[in-house]
Amino acid sequence: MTANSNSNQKVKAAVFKFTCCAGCQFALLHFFDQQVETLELLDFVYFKMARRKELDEPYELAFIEGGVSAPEHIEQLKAIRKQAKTLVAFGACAAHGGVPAIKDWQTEIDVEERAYPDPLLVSSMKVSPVDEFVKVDHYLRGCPIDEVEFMEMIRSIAADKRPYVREHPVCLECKLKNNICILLMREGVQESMCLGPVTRGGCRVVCTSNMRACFGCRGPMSNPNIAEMVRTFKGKGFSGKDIEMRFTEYAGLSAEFREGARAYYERKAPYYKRKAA
Amino acid sequence: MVKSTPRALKLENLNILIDAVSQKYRTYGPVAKDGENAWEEVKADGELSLGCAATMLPAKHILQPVRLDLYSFKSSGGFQIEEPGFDEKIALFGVSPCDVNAILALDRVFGGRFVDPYYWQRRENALIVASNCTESAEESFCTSWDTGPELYSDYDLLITELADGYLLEVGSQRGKVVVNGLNLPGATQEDLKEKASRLDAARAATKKRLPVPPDDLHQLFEERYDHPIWVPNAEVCFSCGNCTFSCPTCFCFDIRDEVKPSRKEGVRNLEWDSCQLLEFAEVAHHANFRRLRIDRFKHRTIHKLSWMKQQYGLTGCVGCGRCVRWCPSWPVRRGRITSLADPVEIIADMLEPPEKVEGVERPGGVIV
Repeated sequence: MTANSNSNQKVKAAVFKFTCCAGCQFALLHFFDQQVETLELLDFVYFKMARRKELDEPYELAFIEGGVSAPEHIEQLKAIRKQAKTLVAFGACAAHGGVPAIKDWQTEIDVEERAYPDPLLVSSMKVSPVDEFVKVDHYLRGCPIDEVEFMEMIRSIAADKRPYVREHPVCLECKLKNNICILLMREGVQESMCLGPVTRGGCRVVCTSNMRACFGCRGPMSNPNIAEMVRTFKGKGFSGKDIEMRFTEYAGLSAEFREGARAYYERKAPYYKRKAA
Repeated sequence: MVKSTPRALKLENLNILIDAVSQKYRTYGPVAKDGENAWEEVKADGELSLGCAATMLPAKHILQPVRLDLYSFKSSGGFQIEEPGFDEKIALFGVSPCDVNAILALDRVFGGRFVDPYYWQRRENALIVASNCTESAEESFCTSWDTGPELYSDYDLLITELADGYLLEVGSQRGKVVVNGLNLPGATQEDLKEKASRLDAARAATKKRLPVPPDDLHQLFEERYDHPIWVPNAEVCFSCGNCTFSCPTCFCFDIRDEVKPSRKEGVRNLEWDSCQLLEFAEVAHHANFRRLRIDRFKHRTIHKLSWMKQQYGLTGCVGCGRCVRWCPSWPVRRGRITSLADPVEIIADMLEPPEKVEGVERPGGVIV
């Protein structure tokens, strides 16, 4: 995966879509307009949303958008992994299952009966993130992906170095932007259910800057304190169902958020007591 | 800095002074934002929101921006470095006494053994218009450190709100130049008396106090470094870094190079960092000096309250109460809901006899 400036060779890239809304691809189209550098660094040999061309030449870099939700996806994914030198999980669905993975928390046939006249017509399965089946080299998280992070990623891939992706919480960026704290300020309302302290940042806090609570679309940060997040929500008076839904909304398949969704039912929040004096 | 030689003046309204300052300086001050105060550029008095309520971020982000391009580099026929430089003059208008003391602490950090030119290019010409606090905020405990509500020295100009206007004191030559052309009347003895009585009232209104004298803190933390109460405290810590970013004396930053794909040019930039984040103390081979949450929690607390004094001679906590306000974790201690990061509560925790803490294992035995 080396494309030196001397050879002036672009990286051949392909974009594949699995179970998702294709919004991240759409965001990528938008970057073409905003960031000319995207097209200077990458040569898209397969990108259904942008060009009619079928996949007929080799590629080095694969962007996988969306989660895996059908048996045939697994074969396709393995074939892509074999071809691509670098595989990037592209967006929340590929990284953590995303919104489609909400159905993982319900019985499969109930979901299918709601959508199809006959469940026997579809061979659908639980949605999984890409890294359940193949090795993922890099992750571009978020719903949709962030422009700055994407540029850093492709610049790094073109220069053959490790991309700089911080694993800090959303809180960090909120503070640096001088935003007020939604979790603390908007007491007792649904909008104050902010997952900022446990969610990975890098989104340039678009939601919290506009007074919307963090939905946790980028998944858990490094070493998040999920138990305390659950306790905080509980202390603010949210029900177990609210907490479960908030944790499973975008990244419920990550081990940490899964813990948050279940923590409410399984154990008491970690209050601590002292002996009376 | 010049030791203050008070030359007291009377000011009818702040606009006169803001106009005078903003003619010579790019002026920043606390401005109301979403129900809180934030440091932003100011032009007129109507926008300014003075008073004891601490701003969300302290004024340090004007002296050292949260993100800053230090220089760009290029290697085409030799290695070249280009610095953007900084030739503007900054004025900080309405800095509260605790924040002035915090800036003095930052001066020691960035101007001690190693001098940080990027900090000093802003700090060197900065005009500090301090503002004494005539009211007290719930979270503040500045009287315990003697960092407020009154400022005694190290200001260029100092304003104190009075019933009919403001008392303006000049503390340096730089401040004198600003007010020279304004033809302000001198303050009377009554004005000075009113200032003293107002500040005494503010002092009396500051109910929150450290449970031990500041000089004893070093010994307390040395003796009780392994106190079992650290464990439940660390258990409810998010490690989100809110306490450190909002702290006026926190100074840590990260430096990295943004290299263009050509590998021939790039930019070196600075970004604030926090000791509360897992990656902060990570070195090669993913070794980490403070992998456990409890180690990071201890580090921040003891560094603020004791080690910074040992290292730089000035207190690392000025009692502004920002960490108390912005900590998202609110555990129950002593039957009350408290802020986890609250130094007063943490010291009260340390004073409890270790054998009285129930249900926690000794640190090292449990991974928090």
